[in-house]
Amino acid sequence: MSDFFNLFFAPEMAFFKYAFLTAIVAAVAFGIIGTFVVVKQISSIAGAISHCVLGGIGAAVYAETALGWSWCKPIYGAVVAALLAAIIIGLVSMYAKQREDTVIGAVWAIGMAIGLMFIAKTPGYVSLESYLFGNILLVSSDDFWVTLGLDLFIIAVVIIFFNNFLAVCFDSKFAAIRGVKVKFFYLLLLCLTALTIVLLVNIVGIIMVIALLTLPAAIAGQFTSRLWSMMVLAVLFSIIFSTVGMGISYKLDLPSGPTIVLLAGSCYVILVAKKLIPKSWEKRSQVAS
Amino acid sequence: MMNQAEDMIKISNLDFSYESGKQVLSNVNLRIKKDELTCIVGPNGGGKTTLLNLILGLLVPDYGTIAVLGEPPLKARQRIGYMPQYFSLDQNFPITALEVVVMGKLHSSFWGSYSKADKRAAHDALAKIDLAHCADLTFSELSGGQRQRVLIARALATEPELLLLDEPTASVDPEFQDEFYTMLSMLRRNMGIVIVSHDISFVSRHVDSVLCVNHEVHVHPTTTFDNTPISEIYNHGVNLIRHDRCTAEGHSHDHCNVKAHTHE
Repeated sequence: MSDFFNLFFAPEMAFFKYAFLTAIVAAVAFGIIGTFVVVKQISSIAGAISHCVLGGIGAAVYAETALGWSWCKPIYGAVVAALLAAIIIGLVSMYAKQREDTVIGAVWAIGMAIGLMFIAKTPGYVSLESYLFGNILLVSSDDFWVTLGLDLFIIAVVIIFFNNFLAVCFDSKFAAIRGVKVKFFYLLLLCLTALTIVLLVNIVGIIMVIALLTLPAAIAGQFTSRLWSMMVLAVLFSIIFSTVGMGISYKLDLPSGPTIVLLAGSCYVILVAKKLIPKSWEKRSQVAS
Repeated sequence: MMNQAEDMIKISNLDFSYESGKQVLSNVNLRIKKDELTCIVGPNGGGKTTLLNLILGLLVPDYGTIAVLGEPPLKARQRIGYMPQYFSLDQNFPITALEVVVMGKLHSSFWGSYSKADKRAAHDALAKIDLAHCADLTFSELSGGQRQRVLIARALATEPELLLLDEPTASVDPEFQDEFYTMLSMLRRNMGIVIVSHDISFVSRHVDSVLCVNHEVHVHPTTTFDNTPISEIYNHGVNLIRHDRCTAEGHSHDHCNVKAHTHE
């Protein structure tokens, strides 16, 4: 453990410090939005949004390299693509009378295909690996400030509109009757989810985003049944999983994204199994008697 | 003569069909007077819920007009206290009884914050349905009947002029049912009440008029001063809906679909 702290404070390890701070700051957004995603049961929408991020990253990389738009960073493309995906899924499921499930599947695949197309047409070699699987150890000081900015924005919006979000998630019909702009708040929630996903892509990558978004909140839900405390616990779990996961991955030379996800995943599986096992034993003994 | 202002709900020439083209309600005409306790009955799929959603302004009719408390539904709905069936909601949602009830005070202010008075009103509403001690329990910790009562409290917390209850008798715990009827008879002094129910026994004792909804709507007022035997009014389906006393006012029997009443 002391090795880990030496690592953190050593000047030549600045990259590690930023990775660490980014993980902690981002965890706040993951915990809060992840809790909404879990209780509103929209993790498949979150999955579709995260895969669409590749479309935005691909387009941005193409613009940067092939068109020479040097200002066009992958993160801008990621933000635009994530917000677009959120708004499209939201509007289509609200107005077009399509099955939401089908729309989610379509957006999921189309977003990803667009990204792969752009990257194929970008001159030179583009490594997809850090986008797909994440690498928090590559986080720069710029990334840290962007994360902090988005984080503060997400927290502020959730605190200001907390009662509206709670009402829309629990009983949108009643909320509508009370005069709450249900469609607006649902779209806003999807957009906040989209921004959170962009932050997550840095850490665990596109493919494993849903895990770090939902697992800490799902684990928190095992310990509490209040929304506020679920959010606070989810933030704590998220901080623990990303920082400890980072430490383990650095120490054992493992890829950081999968290490973090497996850490969170195994905690969740153990908790669920713990709840299941005694019940099935009880049943068995009842049957036997 | 009945004057416009006395109508709590007035529906004229209403048609409604879903996108799929299935006509759910056709040529509905009805008036519910203020301070009446009305029960909407009908088979599943007959359009009860659709009618409710139209009154709440959640659906828009293809044709015809709806006036609720003298206004279009979108304007009037904040004066309606609506209670859904508890199992239409996520039972494991992390929310306390008090947090559910105070939602009744969620006014149209953009920020949606609650004042101290709002929270006090929520406590009072919980006390009205004997659940003051459950304020801090979560939805999942309550029994089914208690959850239903919490939703009644939420509807009451809105201080409605019209109370719309969707199947209240189906899920309120039996030990609360007598209290529930007593509560309704007290509440009706201050507000109009519309109940959707397929609990036919409920109809007989407690309501002023019955709406049968099965694609068409038929009004059966039940009044205390008219002793017309029920068998004269219903040539059919007598056993299935037993109003104690009925008149034929505003009601055409020829179209009344007997099957409308035959469900468990």
